[in-house]
Amino acid sequence: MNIPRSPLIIPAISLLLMSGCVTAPPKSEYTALAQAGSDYAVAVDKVLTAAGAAHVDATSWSLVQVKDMAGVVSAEKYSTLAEKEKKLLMTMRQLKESTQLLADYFAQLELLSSADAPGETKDAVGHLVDSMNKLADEVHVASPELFKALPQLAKIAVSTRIDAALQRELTARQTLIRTQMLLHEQLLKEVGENLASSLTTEAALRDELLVRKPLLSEKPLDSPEDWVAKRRTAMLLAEESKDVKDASKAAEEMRLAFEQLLTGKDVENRIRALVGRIRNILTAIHAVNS
Amino acid sequence: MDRTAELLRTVKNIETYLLLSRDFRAWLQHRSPKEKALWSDKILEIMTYRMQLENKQLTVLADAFDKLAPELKTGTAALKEELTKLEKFIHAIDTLSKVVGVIAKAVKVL
Repeated sequence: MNIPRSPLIIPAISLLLMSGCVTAPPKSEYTALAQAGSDYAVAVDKVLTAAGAAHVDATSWSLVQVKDMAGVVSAEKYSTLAEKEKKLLMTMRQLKESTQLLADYFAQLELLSSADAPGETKDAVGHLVDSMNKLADEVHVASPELFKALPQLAKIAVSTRIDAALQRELTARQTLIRTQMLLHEQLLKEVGENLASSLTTEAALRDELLVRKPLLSEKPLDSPEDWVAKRRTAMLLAEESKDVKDASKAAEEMRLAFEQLLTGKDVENRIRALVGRIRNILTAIHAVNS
Repeated sequence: MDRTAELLRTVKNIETYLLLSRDFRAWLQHRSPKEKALWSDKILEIMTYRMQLENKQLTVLADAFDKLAPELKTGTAALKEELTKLEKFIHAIDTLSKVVGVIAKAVKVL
């Protein structure tokens, strides 16, 4: 039986037309940026958490030093200090909440950009492939190869539609994302510096109180093994802060990757650099935490 | 912002000197208990002031982020909406595949 081609071709071609054919960077670049954005937001959250903990620890070590040097700490002065530190930690929490909003945005972007999002895409196209193949086997069509290729058009239509939506969204929200990234550069610069400063202070005070003092005392060391471990911690702590201090560069990479994506330039290398930087931050934070 | 950053650096340097300088520590060892208590207060005041400056810096950023929050939420909602539209589009493909399946069966019967 001969089935005219046109009625079946029309819906498939309509899918393409409905999807809106626009020139856009390959979808993998959007996906890569969205994934990097999600990872970036996680890294910023971890930097903020680590900065809060390091701040409290550095303050505690400083108080131990004051007590050791002066022999006394005023209750009133301590209460005022603790109050200010709580306020600072509350501001950091507020910043973490803002970062969570950015994480939500990138997570949604990632969901949309993913080729399998939503999961039914593959199934729907798969069903169409099966049905078209069966039909092509059953009927005599003028161009069976073209006929069997029609489901691929549906797949392209979905992909093109996703690209168009992503490009539309990122173009519409470009000022917002650019401003967010500029603020993040500033945030990570300040928090990174504060974190590095807290770690340096903690390392110096650990060295003074736990390493030098018992070593230079006339009394024998209580436990040489403990002393060695404490010295290692003090020596390595300051080193680990260096990668965190450069955290603001991740925000800069993120912003530049976004700019390149908008202008249609190849962002693969930029995103690779960004992912590397995020990995460095996470490694440094892990080292600090452990 | 820059003035706060500069001030913060200066305050941190003073704090670091008072906490870590061996010269200052040696000098303080020979002071009276009253003087030691006074210096203890001074160091805590400097630490408190440093925290105030750090908080001031971060509050400026937190406020700036808060101003952007509504638009960011709008963006997230728009992406969710787009995803829903995409689901409907995929549903249309699924329906089309079912129609083609029915046609295939009908053709086989004929």
